[in-house]
Amino acid sequence: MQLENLNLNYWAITPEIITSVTGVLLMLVDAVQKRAERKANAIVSLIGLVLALVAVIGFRTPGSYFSGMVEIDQIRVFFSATILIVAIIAVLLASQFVRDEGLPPGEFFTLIMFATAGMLMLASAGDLVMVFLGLEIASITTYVMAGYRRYDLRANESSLKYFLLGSFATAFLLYGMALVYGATGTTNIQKIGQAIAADQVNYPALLLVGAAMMLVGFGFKIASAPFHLWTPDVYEGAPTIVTGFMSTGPKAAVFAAFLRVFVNGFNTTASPVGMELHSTWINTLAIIALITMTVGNVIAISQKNIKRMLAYSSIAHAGYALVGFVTGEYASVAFYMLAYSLMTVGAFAVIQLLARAGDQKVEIADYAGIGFEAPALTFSLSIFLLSLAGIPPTAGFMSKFFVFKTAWDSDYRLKWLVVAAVVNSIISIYYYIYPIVVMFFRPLAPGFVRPRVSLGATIALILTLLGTFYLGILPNRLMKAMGSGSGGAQSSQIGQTQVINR
Amino acid sequence: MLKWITLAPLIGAAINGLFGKLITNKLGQKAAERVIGFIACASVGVSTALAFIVFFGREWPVVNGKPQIAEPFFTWIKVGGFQADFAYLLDPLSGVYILFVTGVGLLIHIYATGYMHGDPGYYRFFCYLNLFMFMMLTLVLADNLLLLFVGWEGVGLCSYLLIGYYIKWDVAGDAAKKAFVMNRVGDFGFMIATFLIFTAFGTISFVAKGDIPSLLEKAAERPVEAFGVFGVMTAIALLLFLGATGKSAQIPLLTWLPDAMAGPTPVSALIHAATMVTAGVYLTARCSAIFVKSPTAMAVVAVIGAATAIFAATIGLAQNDIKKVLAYSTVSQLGYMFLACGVGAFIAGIFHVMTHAFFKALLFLGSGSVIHGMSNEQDIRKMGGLRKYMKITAATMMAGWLAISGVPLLSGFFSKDEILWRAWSTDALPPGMGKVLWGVAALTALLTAVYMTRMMVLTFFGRERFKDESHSHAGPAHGHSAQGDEHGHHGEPHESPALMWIPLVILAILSVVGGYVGVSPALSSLVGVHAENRFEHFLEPAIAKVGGHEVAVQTGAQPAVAAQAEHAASSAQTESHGAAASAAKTTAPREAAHDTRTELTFTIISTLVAIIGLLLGWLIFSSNPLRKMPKLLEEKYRVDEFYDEAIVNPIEQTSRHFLWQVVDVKIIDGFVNGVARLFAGLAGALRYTQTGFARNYAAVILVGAIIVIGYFGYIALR
Amino acid sequence: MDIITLTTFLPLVGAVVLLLYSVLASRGDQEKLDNQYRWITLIATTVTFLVSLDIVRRFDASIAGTQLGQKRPWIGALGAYYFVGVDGISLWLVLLTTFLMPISVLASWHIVKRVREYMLFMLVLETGMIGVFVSFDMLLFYLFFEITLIPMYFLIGVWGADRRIYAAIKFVIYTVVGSLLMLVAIIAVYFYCGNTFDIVEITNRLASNPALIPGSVKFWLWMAFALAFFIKVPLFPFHTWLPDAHVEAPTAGSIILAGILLKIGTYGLMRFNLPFFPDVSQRLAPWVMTFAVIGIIYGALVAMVQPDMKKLVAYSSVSHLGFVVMGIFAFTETAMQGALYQMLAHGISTGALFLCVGIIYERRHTRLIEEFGGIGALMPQYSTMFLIISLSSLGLPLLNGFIGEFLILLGTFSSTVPHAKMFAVVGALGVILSAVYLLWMLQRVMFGEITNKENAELEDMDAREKWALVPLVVMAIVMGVAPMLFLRSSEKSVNSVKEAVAGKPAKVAVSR
Repeated sequence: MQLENLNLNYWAITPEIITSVTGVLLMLVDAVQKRAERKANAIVSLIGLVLALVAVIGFRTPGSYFSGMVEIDQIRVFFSATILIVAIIAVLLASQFVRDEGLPPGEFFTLIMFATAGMLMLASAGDLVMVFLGLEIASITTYVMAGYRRYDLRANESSLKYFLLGSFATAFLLYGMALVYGATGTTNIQKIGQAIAADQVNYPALLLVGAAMMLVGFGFKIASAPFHLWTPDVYEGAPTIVTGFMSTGPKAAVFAAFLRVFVNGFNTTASPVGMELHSTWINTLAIIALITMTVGNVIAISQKNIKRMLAYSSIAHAGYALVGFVTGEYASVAFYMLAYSLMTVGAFAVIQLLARAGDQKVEIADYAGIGFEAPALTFSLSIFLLSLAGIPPTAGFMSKFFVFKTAWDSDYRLKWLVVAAVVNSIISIYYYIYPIVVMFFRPLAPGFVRPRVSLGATIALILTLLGTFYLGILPNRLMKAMGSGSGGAQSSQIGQTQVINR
Repeated sequence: MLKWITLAPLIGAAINGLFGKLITNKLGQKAAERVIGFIACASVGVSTALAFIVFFGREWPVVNGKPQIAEPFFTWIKVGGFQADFAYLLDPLSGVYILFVTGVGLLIHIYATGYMHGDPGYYRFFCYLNLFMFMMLTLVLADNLLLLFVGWEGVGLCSYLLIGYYIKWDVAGDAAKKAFVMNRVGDFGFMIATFLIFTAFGTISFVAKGDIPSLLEKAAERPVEAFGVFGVMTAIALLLFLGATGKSAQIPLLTWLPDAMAGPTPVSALIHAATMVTAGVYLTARCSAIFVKSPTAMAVVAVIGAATAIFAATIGLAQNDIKKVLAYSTVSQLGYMFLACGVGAFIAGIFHVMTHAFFKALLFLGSGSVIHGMSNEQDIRKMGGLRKYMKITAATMMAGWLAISGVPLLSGFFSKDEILWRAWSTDALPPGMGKVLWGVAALTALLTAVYMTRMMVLTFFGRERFKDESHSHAGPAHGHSAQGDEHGHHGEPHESPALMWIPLVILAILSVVGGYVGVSPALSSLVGVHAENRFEHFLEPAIAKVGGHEVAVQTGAQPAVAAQAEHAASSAQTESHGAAASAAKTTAPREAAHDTRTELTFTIISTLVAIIGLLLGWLIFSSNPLRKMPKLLEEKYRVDEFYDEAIVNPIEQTSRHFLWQVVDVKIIDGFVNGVARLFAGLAGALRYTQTGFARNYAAVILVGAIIVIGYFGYIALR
Repeated sequence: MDIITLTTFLPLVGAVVLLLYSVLASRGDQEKLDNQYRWITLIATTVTFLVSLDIVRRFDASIAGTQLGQKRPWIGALGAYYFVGVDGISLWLVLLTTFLMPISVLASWHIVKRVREYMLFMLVLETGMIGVFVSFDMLLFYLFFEITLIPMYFLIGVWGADRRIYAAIKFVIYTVVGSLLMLVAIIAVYFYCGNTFDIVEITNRLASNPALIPGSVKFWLWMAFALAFFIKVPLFPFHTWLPDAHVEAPTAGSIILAGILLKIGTYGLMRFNLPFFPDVSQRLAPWVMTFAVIGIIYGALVAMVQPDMKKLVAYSSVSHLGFVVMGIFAFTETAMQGALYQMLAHGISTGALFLCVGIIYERRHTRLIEEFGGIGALMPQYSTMFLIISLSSLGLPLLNGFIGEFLILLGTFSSTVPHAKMFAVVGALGVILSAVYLLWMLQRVMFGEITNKENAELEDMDAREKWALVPLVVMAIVMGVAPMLFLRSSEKSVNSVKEAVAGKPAKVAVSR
């Protein structure tokens, strides 16, 4: 390994630093403060996260820092932003959660913070080692969060499953990394790409098999079929707020790393091996995308438990996102993950409120006729569900449309995949509107108490709603921003020229 | 001017329709009736006056040989090349029509003010009646086929409304619907004909618009389609005739008219005897230019006409409801008119339309007066000897009776005789056909005399059977029971008020003298006057002549006549181009000589037929009025039942038990729900992958991983 | 702001106002509040109507293309514009929408369940519907197309009758199946036609260079669009959602559904399938017509035997819209003008028919024909209007229904499409059948003695019902007597579509 400039720029890792520090800080706060007032935790973490967000947006100078360990690029910016937004919403909801459940608050916020830090690392990882590091931090914290409701067996089971299978998959990832290192002699993603391009691959087979194993590892984390089986159980068992958190944040983070490794690393077609690798992972992912969304949507139809249903829906959405992924256009994926995170976390937020302490009411049937009893909640939930279903004018529609459009335009002949995705959306409509049917069209089920909605939760809901509609109606600025890095640009260019023509 | 003829009644209708209720509530029934009745009669009076002024007033301008007054109103539809305006045309044909429509219409309106006295729906009735006048006059005065269709459908609507006037009475509802639907079947033909005409001629106007010639002129340019040839003209003619059969209750669409008697009697007189039902004849005459180009169509028209005539006449023999008798007689007479058109004697047909309007309106109003006097009894078996209770009614009705029976010197005689003779002497049809049709027509004439006599005998002569038992109220009694109670002086029959008998008298006079406008030269020659048929001469320019000999040639008849072929052809051409008079003169003298003698002999025959008929009827029924009639006739040949079994029920059953409950519910919805169930099933199956055991999951992940890795490895080592 | 945008979003503004008012209004007498909500909605919709009249005033009939609208960047990154306007085809559909909405509000006056939400959905729905007709950007069009879906879904599902859930889901699934496939087609067209969603632009580009889209693809794209619209129309055999939706929907729902939403389908065919894919449209015209004609006859026959008045009217819509589709695919000016006119006429007549059914439903809470009989004597005014409307629906001259039907049939008869004459003749049979089923219903409802005791003291229409029904009746007559008022302004645009199909590229200019 030859010597080169380390390019130590601490601005590049400020967000990670802030979140980690806040995490530590929280433990201290928790130690000093009295049990009674829990506000402090929330406020401190909020401040931390917002600062982190500012830092992310503030420092966008592209480049690789810390000898390529940290990569600052579009992916980093947008995925980090998504992650932080999710974290913020989680925090906003958390205070009511811990209060209602009577759980120790301090640790929970700390966990959120560390998880966020890990995810941010993932999103900015320029090196396989960093990828692994971030992934582990994020995962382990989420394992714990999943089991945070100690007395709850379901939670424990979910946590355990998640841990076991998670480590199983991580093993694949680690092995893959090792093999790729062995093949290319480096763990730096850019260098790997260059090595492949320059055809300096020792054992092509090693490279491909390594890539395959990494693909499996990532595939597990984003819950793509056939590596998705853990998702429903884990999502169902975990406290709803945690489900919301881990079905969005980590997924986005992993997608970021996944993108950087495959789209930036394994995308060269300069050398024969590169070409082989490239076409192979694209084909594989295309098929996985198809299976994923189909399995997700079809099984979701038969779900009675709304958390399980949303679990399958999140599987399906991983499938849609993969459609964008295989086009090699990260922009559509980034936008998709942002939209997906907003509406999913929003949906889980509502459910957490409706389900009340200990997740008592998570059967769809429990919501019979409550539509007009708690309009604010039920209409929000309806909007999130319709957004997930891809009905305009919501983020769900725009993100899908963006992905489909990109895929249709891409040169990998993915038009069939788009059609398949559309057919899937049709199927999905059925189960997304089902809860609406139950909530609004069915007579009221006895024993419904209008849930108490804390200020934080209210803010969280408003934020997610606004986000859902903003991305659905006026996504232009964001799309442009993302576009101005990658292929998404081309369409916006045409947009420009047309304006001029007129 | 013309538009006001049509609009006046519309205004009347509007006033009565919108404010009638108000007036009734404000003034109370009695006073309101006067106001409403006045408005109705006045509005019709205005258009009558206008009609006469326009008709007899100034000299009509002559447009390429045809005296006519064209009056635009406004553009109705103008899309692509198609144009249909609200524009009116007064030519001899429509002229004759507006005269008797308004005239008779006015009389019937006056009569109705008396007849409907005390009816709660008084204003509604006159609103409809006025509306009808508007529609009828629009139909007659329309200058294009579509506007004619407007009137055509409009009168149908009014007929629907008025048949169903006694809204609480189910029979009325059925009859109304039946009438409308059967007319719709006819209208189907009318519409398709319109399409064909537009596609063939590029216009649907009866008058030349700028450089676009009228459809009649276009039609005249077409060659004659030989008998049996099914060309576009034949198609158009037959489709138009389908429309006519609907409106004028000809086979096969005749069964609605008798049922239509469920309406109030003035309606039966106005709509279902005098005016609307003759619209079919009007259409045929109006489009004569088209019909004459298709001997095939002409033959069909003539045959249907004759068949209907005899068919209805036989049924008329066996009916016991006074209005039903008259209804079938109407159908039969309409048959006559079509026979006339079919043999090329369109003018004779129109002539009969007019005379028929007089005496049939008279008979209906008379019957109304009888029903009224008998407080809603319609069964002639329960009448008899009424002449000494209602003298005027009896006297006037006898005039109508003799007129329709064709007793010489009465209106019916001239028109009917004309038709019979033209049937015999026609050259529009294949040789010999005319003779057969003449036979049928003559027989019908005989039957007409018989059943009319039967009706009169049972009503006015013989024993006073109404004394036998307190008669139960028949039909409409339920319907306008209000009116029934109003007039229910049970027991003694009584003469009707002046408002009702004055129109009777006027119509009686018309029925007697009405025929003299159309005396044929042959007849007038008897009294030494050698006048041409004024009626015919007047109408000639509006009606196309049959280029008869042409047919003879094309159907391969003897070459002798062939010589005249092209001459006749050219004459046909020129005539339809308008130089009517000249052409008529060239042909007239040659034929006149021998024709006159034969024509007279036939006149004598038809006279005899009438006399025999009357005597026969008298002999049979005066002795035994309640003689049992053949069942089949009484049941009207069971046509309705046949239609129900053969057409109505099958359609309904298939629609309900196949289209709806099988195709819609089982097949289409079944398929859709099937797909849904498929996915649900699939989902149920896939759920079992979710065992809940981490080890199984791990296994699956492993398998998946192996597949993926294997694939990559295979690619690498390939 | 341009008049089109204003008209489109006024109802939404009304919705916001209503929402704010309901939030600020003092809690308490729910009755009073509900009434205020009703009035707010009525005013909002009425104002929208009045504003939309200004569109007619400003409309220039001599322009074939879009006018009075605007085009400004919306999602540059996707190449989508906010491009709205009207042309001769959409003009009257917009007016129809704004005209029917206040009436629908009046028709829902008796709704007592969740008035606020109901009215909100109505207002959102109106914006959606107007938006569909004024959008000239495919993505925008799709947006509004889908937006109309949800409010109607709630209207049926929440305020509907017994089997409302089944009907609502069926309605949504059917529509979405069509629309999502259309979405793919939209994306494809975008790329084939040089990255634009601009409908006018695409029309022109395809007109000047039909080879932009390869032939094989064209067929599938046509299918994708057509399926969406056929389902919406609905064309046989995609029609089975309609009867269910109609029967279960509240009166206003049915009025809007039949009056406006179905027109989106036929409108779409005229806006997309014909101008975009003239050759495919021509090739498939005989097939489409076949189904249209089947629809005409089938709908009429099935309507004839319905025991439920609403179902009867619903199936009659299937029949009437069969006429429209037939007219559209006849590719003659006469037929297409007729089709457009029939859309409007059907909107008025069928809307009014549903209103009539609703009026007695409110009194008797049944729609079964057999439950009635002898109504005529009890409710004379109501019966008269019901009669007039039925007559207009069965195409009696001098009423609106006739003009459209006649022009369609005439135009089809003179069309060059294979077998067109035969289609026209068979279609004309539908005219007979329409008389049968409507008059039969009338007879069973109006005529005869009062058989059912419960009908004994039915009240005639009250002021509100008159205010709702009379305008429709008046329109029916006006449209029947003076069709040129409407046909004149649609002539140019319809012709340009016809030309496009006929192959002669008619350059459509955008005038702003």
